[in-house]
Amino acid sequence: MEQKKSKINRLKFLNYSLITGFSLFIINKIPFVRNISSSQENKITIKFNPLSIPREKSGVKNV
Amino acid sequence: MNASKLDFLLRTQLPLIVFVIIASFVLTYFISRPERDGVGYTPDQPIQFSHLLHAGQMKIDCKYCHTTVDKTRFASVPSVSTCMNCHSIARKDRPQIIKLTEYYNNNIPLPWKRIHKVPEYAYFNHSVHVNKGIECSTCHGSVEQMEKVGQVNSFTMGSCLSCHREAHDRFPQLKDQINKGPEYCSACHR
Amino acid sequence: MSENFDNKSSINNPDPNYWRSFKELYNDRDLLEKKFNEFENGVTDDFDPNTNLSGLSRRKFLALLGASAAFAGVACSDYRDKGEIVAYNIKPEEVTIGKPNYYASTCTGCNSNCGILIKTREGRPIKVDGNPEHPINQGKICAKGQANILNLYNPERIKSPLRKNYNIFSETNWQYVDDNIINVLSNATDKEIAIISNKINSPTTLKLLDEFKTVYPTSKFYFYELFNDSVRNSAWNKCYGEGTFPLIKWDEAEVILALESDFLGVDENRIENVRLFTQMRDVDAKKFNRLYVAEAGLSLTGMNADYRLKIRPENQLEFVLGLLTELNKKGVIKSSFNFNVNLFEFVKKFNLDEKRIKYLLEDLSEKKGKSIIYAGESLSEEVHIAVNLLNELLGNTNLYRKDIRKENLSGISDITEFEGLVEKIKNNKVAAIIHLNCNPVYHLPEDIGYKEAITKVEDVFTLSETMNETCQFSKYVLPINHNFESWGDYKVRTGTISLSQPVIMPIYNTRQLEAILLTWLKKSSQAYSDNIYHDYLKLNWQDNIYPKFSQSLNFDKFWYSALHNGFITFQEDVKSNFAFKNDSIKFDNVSVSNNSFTLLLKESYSLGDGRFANNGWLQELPHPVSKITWDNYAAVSLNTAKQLGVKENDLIEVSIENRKLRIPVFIQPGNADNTIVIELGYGRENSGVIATGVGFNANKLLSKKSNYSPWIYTNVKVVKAPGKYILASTQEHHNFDIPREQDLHFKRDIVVEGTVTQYLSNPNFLKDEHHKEHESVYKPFEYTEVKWGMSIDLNKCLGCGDCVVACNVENNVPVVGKDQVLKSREMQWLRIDRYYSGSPDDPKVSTQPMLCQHCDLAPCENVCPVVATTHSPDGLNQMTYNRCVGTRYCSNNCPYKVRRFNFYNFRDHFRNGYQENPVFALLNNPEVTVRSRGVMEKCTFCIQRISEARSEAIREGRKVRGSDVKTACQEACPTNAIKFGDINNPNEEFYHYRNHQLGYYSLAELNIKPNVTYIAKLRNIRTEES
Repeated sequence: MEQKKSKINRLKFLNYSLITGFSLFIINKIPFVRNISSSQENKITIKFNPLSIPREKSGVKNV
Repeated sequence: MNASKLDFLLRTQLPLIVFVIIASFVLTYFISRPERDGVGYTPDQPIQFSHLLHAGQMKIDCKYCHTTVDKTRFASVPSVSTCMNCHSIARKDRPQIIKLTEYYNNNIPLPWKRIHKVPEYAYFNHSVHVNKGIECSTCHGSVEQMEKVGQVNSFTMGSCLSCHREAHDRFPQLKDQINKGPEYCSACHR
Repeated sequence: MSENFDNKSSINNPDPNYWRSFKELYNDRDLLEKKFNEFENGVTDDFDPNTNLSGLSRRKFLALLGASAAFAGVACSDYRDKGEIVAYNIKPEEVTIGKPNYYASTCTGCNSNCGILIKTREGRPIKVDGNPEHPINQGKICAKGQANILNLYNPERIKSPLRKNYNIFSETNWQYVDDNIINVLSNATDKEIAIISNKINSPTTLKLLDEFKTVYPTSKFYFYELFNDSVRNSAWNKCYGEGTFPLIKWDEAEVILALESDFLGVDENRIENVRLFTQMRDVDAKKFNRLYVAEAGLSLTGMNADYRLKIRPENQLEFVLGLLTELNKKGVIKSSFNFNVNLFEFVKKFNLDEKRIKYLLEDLSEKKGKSIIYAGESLSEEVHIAVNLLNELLGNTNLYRKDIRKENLSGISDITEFEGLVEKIKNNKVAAIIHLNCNPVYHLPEDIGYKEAITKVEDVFTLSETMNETCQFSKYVLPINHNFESWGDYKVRTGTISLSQPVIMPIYNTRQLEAILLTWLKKSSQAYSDNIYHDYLKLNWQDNIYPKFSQSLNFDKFWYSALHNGFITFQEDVKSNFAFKNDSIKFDNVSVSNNSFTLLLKESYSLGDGRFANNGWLQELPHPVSKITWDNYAAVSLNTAKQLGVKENDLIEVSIENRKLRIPVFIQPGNADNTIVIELGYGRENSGVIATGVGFNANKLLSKKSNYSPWIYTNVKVVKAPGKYILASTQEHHNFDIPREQDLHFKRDIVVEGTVTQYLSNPNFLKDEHHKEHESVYKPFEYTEVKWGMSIDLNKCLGCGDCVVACNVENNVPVVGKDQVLKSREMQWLRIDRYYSGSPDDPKVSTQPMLCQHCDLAPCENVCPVVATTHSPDGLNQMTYNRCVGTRYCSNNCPYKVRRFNFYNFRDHFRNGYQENPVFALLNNPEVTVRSRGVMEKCTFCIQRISEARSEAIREGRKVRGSDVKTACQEACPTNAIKFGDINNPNEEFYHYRNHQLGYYSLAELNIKPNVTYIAKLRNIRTEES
């Protein structure tokens, strides 16, 4: 009877792994989940300061 | 050699060696597919922008939107504000334009799907090619006839090098302007 | 099996000597049968191994498992997917994607406030260089300024206001802290509000502080600097009655005597000093000054001295007075004072070289009025007075700049004021303490008792970028903007005001320091707006600064052009007649014989006063003299080490009265005996992952009163302490005892030197001595177009290391950490080699920057098994990272050992992945590949800049020129020692350096044809010596 039990266990394990793989595959396609997994943590925003004058700004010459 | 050694050779070693050779070939073939076979990749874009309409029928120049193609390494994808230059007024009622305006108003940058990509360790420089008189369509195909843009040429190092080496054959009209393209590594690989 | 059973060979004749049972001995048949079978009979009775246990064999099961995993993996992504390309929503007008923007600003790494140009790509600052038009630093900044960018992207910056509850800091919001603090300040009507800051050079900030005082009348301001020139200035005041010590015209000095003054290394604005100094070490103009250095510890300036004297600081006064006496005797100067110091007895007493003193006297007499004696800021006031007198009598006041003087806007508070503050705290007279971006708990001498005192004050508010020792004692910690996110103006000299502008909006929830103060000024947390300080600054300029200019320009245009340039210059009158007051001269204790040790505390070359301790690039920048990274140490001479019985890496205990410090010892050739030199700025606590625990906190040895000067103590006891501490040095500790290794750098032609007299008499002396024609079996490649080459003028190279940090920033070089430096795995592409020759007591020091020489016949190119390193037709040795497999044969073959291998992906190896923090991705130069584990890298002659120049040239329709490209190291070198260009173009400036009379190749005998030419160092010593 052990062989049947181990056979069932192996089949169960295979089933679970295949199901998990498929489900991950399907879930990853959903845009919502896609956004989350691309990690929102510590997204650093870079902004210019509009009052600063770079050398390349047009109209400002070396006076 | 004795019978068992020959047996081992034929039954085990030879198939193993053949298998390894075939497997490595097949593996490399598949791994290099993205570069070799980007050809034909025509993904769906978040906004169904039609180059056929804008560049083909309306004859808007490539450089009107892709402004930095003759100034820097990158041919920049235009910002949404460039689109809004016309589309704040033109065809405001179409669903795609409404979608575009939403992006613009909510300050969300448009995530276009990238089609043409050379690996990051190769630093391709657009301005050098454009300033020497090479047309956009040479590498990107006839984009002005594409409803949805796709990759038509392969972007492997081999194809870049073959054009560099045959520069005068491929561009006979530019024979006096251009030399053969660089073949040395640091031209692209820094 | 049964057929073998009857095999007669072994079974029927068991070995008579070995048996386990009688049955065996007597060949019992049953036993023998059992022995023959592997399994006992009946073992497999319970199951039949030949029937199927499960429909699935183990093999099949594993195969299916693997297949499903592979399928899942492949299916999860479209292999052709190349990601997304995301453009701007609204592109800022000034941005061209792929082209950098430059903003003019001002550096606040130290008090010199040099003008800088910040290079940004798509809104991210990635590189800082000097502002070429700025009158003071003229396009160059120091290593700290270059590395300051790492402080902007420091992941350990405080990201939002913190409040302390039971010793734990928790995040809070600005409104909460502002409201609370305004409340406390408004209620402090009868108690003092102590505001402590570093020296402030900003006119607008000071105006703000004045307004602050009107709103909160009980405010009192305290300014301090760990290293300052207060002693020098007070001596000047005593001698001349007014003003601050003048600026020196180093470029007109033909003889310089530097007394314990590292003016080329850390003193004052070293960028200006080195630029002016090296103008007088010019082999083409044939102008050479002579530098005498009298110091106790070998410093950067001492390394470049023509003649060096080892004099302990307490004996400097006697030395100067001896010079005065001797020159007076000789009639060179006319002084009414007679100090009666016998110079030659002094020389004998301290074992100095008499010849050098004679040369010094001769030079000072000959070059009267064209020489300068300069005393370091750590010497005592009396020495400064004596030096001022000597300069005055020799007429060297010619070399004091009379058109521009230093400004001292806020000044520095006397140490007694801090003692007063502590008293007031003890008497409960202080309501609140505000620290403005300073760290008095770390910097102030411990015997003032500041650390203990502030525990008694509940309302301590610290405004800081990162956590530090002072923050630990604060109730609220308020994060402030980094220099690159801030507005500001700075006036360090008359006639020039520099501006700083932000190049990026604050990355975290931080505010500008002055904006925070303005919010408190206006007594309401709602008063804050993002531009509050910008408006205040602009208004101050409109009201107070703009009117000084001609009104032909309207204010807005004036303001924009000032921001564009980064500074304004204007005429400002200064008092320029120096009248020496003779009544100040009186010296006690001239002749000192010190039997105990003397301790010198110096400013760190790379960390400043400690504020850059959390900066990995600066910690890893090797010390210019000892080449030690990641630690400070006690530098002692060889004799002293023998006397104490210590060797390398042993610990010593330095004690002054009741202050003690255990610190490892480093044997420094060239140090004076019985002197300990320690750099400050190390031993930080709670200051970040990189800073904490690195080095030893020698601030513990400071005292509010010293018997000599705030940084020099003469009553020091030193004993050997138990234990060992390994110091990580990037150069081997030079062995003077091994004759075979002595002067190896000269014998092997790694470094070639000469003297000025040799050069002036025979300009071709180098080629005459060293010229060797080399044959080669290879046919030389024809370089028809541009061929890149570099030249390094060793007369101008002082060994400071600014180029190294600039290269690190430009090329995304990782920090590896001390344990890897111990294995020689530091990743800096450019290094400064330092060689000693002579004796350990009196070494001659040579420095040589070493980088990839881009040899024409490179030994590394032939041996790469995968052809990852090749030679380009423009002369560069190229490195293709994606092809490299990490054989390391190339670095094995390199005779200069300039190739660096990524033994780890140092970004995730160092400090548990500190450099993998996403904020560091903003710092990387997008034009340079970030290398991973297993790849070889080396100097590329800034190929990204060369490619950019080529691209520009094609855009303009012309050929690329050598002068179009400036490598990062060339741009950073403050003395312009590095030159880069096209060796095939005779019309370029570079061509002259490539074919210079004094030019040589390192290890030329190998005939690998390097493309880096070194211009030989000429020492300006007397003919008799050479």
